[in-house]
Amino acid sequence: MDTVISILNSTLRLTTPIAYVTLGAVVLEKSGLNALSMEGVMLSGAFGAVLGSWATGSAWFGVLAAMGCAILVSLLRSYLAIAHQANQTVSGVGLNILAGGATAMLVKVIWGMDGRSDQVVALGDWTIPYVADIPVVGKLLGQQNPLVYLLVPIALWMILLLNKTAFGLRVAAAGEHPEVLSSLGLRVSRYRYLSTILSGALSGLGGAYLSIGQLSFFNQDMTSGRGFMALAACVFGGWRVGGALAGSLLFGFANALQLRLQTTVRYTQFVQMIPYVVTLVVLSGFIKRANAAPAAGGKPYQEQE
Amino acid sequence: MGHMEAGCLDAKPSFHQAADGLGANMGNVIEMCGISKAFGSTQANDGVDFACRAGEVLCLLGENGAGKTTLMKILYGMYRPDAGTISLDGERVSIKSPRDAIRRGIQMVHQHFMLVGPLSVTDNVMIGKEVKSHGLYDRKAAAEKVRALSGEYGLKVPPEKLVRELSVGEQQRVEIIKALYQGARVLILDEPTAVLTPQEVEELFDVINRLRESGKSVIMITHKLKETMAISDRVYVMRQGRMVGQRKTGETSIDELSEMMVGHQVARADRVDSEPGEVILRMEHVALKRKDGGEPLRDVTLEVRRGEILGICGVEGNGQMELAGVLTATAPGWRGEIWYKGKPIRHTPTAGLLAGGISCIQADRQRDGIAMSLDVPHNLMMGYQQTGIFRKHGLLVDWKKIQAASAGVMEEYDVRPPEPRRALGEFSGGNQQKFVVGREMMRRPDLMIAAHPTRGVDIQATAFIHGRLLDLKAQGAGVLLITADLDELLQLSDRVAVIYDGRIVGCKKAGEYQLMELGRLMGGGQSDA
Repeated sequence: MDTVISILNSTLRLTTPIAYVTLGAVVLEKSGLNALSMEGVMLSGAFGAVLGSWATGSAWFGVLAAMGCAILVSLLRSYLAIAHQANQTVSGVGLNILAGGATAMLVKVIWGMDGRSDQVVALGDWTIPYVADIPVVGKLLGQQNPLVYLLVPIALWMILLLNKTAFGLRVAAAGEHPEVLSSLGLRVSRYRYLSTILSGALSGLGGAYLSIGQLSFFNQDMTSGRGFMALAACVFGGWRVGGALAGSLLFGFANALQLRLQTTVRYTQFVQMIPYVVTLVVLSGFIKRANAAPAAGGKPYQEQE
Repeated sequence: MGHMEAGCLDAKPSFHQAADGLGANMGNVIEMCGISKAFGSTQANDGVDFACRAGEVLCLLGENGAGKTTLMKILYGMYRPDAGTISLDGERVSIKSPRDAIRRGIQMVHQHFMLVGPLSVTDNVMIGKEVKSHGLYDRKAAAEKVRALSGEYGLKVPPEKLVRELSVGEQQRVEIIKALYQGARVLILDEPTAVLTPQEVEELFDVINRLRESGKSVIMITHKLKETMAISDRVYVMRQGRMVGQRKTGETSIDELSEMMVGHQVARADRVDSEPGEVILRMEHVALKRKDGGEPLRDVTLEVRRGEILGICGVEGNGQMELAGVLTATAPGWRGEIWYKGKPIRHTPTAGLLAGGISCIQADRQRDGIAMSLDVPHNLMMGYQQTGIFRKHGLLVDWKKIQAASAGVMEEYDVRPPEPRRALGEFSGGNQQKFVVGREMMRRPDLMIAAHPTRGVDIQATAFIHGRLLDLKAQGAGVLLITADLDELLQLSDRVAVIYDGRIVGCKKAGEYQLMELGRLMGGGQSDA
């Protein structure tokens, strides 16, 4: 029983960062920009969180700084893709490399250390009164990081935004057939930039959870592929919020399983491969998907005048 | 400047009063005066005048490249004119963007639909002007609006269905509903019948009649004379960027319009009866099952002889495309028997069929016929890679030869502009089609499968292509002609086979059919005989 609870508990903890970034990937991909840059954006978020917390001494300012950093970095990439029709695959991968290098360098500049920042104030857990006292459920849901709890209202809000608002409709049109928006006199770039900002903010939250939620410092390349797992989860979920969350849960579980098995298996390297194998399987399309990718996704779009 | 403000139409009363007899700009919703627009060195519009009244159906007639679409895109705010003025309800306006045009009640239904496939009909209609309640997009109320508009104008579409599940005709209706919902007073339709079956054209015309009754103006860009005569109140004819003239539909004729459009009389290519030769293609009980369980071909038995044109007649989607697919070895897995030149072709790959003298003008040229991003020589080479004719030293590509051949095809088939360096995607649809026909004819095939050979092509080029197909027949080749255009079919074919639901349901000499009988067979009914 304890084993199950501990696996579930770590699943929840490991799902959260991927889930935020996956939501970010969904909105970005829906608007017609591919989400290959999530890794770099998430890493910038993780770095921004530590920087903000270190500078102000407040973890919540750290969270804000995470969102700000991630938004800036996402905007840089979207600007190249939208205003200059840069190839999205190249600019996405390039951004990931840039983010990896820049954060490592800034760690060195600011804290004078190689690959790791100083300890900063981390986000404290929230305890939910009464719930915490319930057996089993209490252990899982009674006491968690605030960002774990916040995921629920944010996900609900995302569902509402993408499915029940004019904005969501237009974002979908921008990703499927941008000419439609142009022909109605709406600016495609406006919806792609707004999606970028939203996506950046969400990925920033995911990054912040990694650095000042689970830990209290920044580690070089600490996202270690989670941005790509988020992309995989987004594909797995058929570009829908609900499906994307299920996808993140899959990766969270794979990670939790991996952590657990490490203690019992001899060749831990193989166990560590589990989440990445899952990523490969999902991205290579072994799993039948009901939904197709946004038709205009990843293609440069030249706006008319 | 003074009289410009008052409307340029006053300046040339004789020209316009001929049309209404009321006095120049009385009741004109739109007046465009002296519109000019150049793209590079091409003068697309040159001092064009145009006017449209409320409740009027206008046809804007012209060959490909005459400047009709440019003029309408200027009205719709997609292009800014180099010179000239636009007035709405007698007031000078400047239309800077489609958004501007939409706000003023001008809407355009493009040739390539502006619809989002994975979204529902309702969503597509609503984009840009969503019905909201409590700040959220209200799909239910929106669907009701769509239903109401759909009922009011007889535009039958299911609001909840996804657009990608609709037929082309239904998608067009969605476009019209969308335009009406966005507040159209003036509706511009760009070649609306190009993609429709004869029945759908009838339905579209019913809708246009209702629009006219409700006081909307409809401007139809077209090059089809019959349809122009059938639906319009007034016709404007453009040629090479200039407005050649206008006529009241009731006071003109197809011959006159055709001459205005082309600048001289057009010779029609008509069938010459001849004695057909040996059988070149025989199909017996050919059937094709798709992976998803669909059965596009159920039982096709037919033969094509040398020196004859066999027309395949049917409503689109009854197996014509798959028939062409089977004969070009691009639709594998068929059952039955096919003999070409007396030999079975079950295991012959596409390249083998090409080498054996089968050419195909594909129905969907952009998907199957050409590579849009490659230039003319690259596209010309396609299908000839395996042959030696464009090689030097037996191995290397002889680009000089290909370029010479490209120039030859472009000249003979009048592909404009005659610039082989351009990517095929930069040519208009009609010119792409002419290129494809030229390339396939160059093969000197023994069997030509011509699917919609003149789709999107203007009158002159149509007559030319018809002439080439008849030449091919005279030279002793067999032609399988697949087309949705009944006039074309009866004009060229020696025999006509009707296909319905993957079966050949009738086959006899073209002259022996009554038009009504054909229509009945196409719809799955019985033959007269």
